[in-house]
Amino acid sequence: MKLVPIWLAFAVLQLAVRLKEDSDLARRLRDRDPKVMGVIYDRYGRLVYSLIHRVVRDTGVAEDLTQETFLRIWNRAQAFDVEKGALGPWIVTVARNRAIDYLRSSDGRMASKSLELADIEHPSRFAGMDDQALSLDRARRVKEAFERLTPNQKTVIELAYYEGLSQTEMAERMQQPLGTVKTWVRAALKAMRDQLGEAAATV
Amino acid sequence: MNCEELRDSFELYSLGLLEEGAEKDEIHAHLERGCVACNAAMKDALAVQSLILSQAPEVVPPARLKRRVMGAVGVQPMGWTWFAAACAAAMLMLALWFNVVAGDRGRQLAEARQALSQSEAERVRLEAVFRFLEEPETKQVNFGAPQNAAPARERLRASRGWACC
Repeated sequence: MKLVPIWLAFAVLQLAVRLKEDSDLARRLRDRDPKVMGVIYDRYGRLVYSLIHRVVRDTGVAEDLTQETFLRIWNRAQAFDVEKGALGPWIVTVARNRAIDYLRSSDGRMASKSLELADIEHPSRFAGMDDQALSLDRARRVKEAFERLTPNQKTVIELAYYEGLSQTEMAERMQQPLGTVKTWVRAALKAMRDQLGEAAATV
Repeated sequence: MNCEELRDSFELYSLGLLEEGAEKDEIHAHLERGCVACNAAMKDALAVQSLILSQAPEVVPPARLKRRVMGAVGVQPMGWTWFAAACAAAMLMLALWFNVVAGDRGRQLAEARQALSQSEAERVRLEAVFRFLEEPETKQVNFGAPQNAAPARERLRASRGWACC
């Protein structure tokens, strides 16, 4: 994972400040105005495509899955709580899950997992998401926390988030004992959580 | 298991990577019964996930992808606004074309008129010269050669001026 350049910090900032505007979009989604998808695509299309491309490494597939992502957003919008619009995180999660599902189906890995991803990405999980959840401060802390990880910790984070590997699969990929991999994963997640915990404490 | 013990597992759960087992079942149960702490932990995990995922290297999608997405949700690619804009553009193009063509023609016309008037003037002048030459009183004059001292050898016709060959 490359170091985050300026534009990414900006992108995450946009993600944060648009939380308020997102609630308007969520409302229009609920009211079934299809033209709102144009606005939503303008806002999140590039991020969704980039993220999916990172996972599937194929532009054609990335296009198909991006379309699928936005169609899913459109079809499930009525379940989205418009009171606190955490539209961005929901869209990003749906995008990632489409990509991981594709990876799993294409190499025959545990197809049953796609059922639980559907549960995770249910819009209700994102309703009432803390407005501070995506603040620029938190984004910066996540970035810093990631940069401070050891190389092995960074690898397991990438394998988890961008390739959807279970810890067992990671151990196999990295040719390491499962216990070792679990240690790396726990340490990496704890480090990132602690960074964000600090931010929450000072807010 | 209590919420505190489950706290560390929400990231993996949110990624769909928590292995089958007691922890996973417990988390699922807590979430289902609306456990406040666990639902908050789940939201935190999803927020962190979004932040991490948004750091993927940027790849610009092709322009057609937006059309595909809009088509998929049932938005007509050519609404009336597009059509109106197309008409306006067409009218503008026509106006410009006419302006250019008309201007061109005008210029050609002016040029033609000017050429005509020039050749007309030239014709008149030449006619005058020939008439002058053909008139009986006109004599040829050679400047510089010895001449008899007849006055006004070179014919001047005041009304016509010089005819110089």
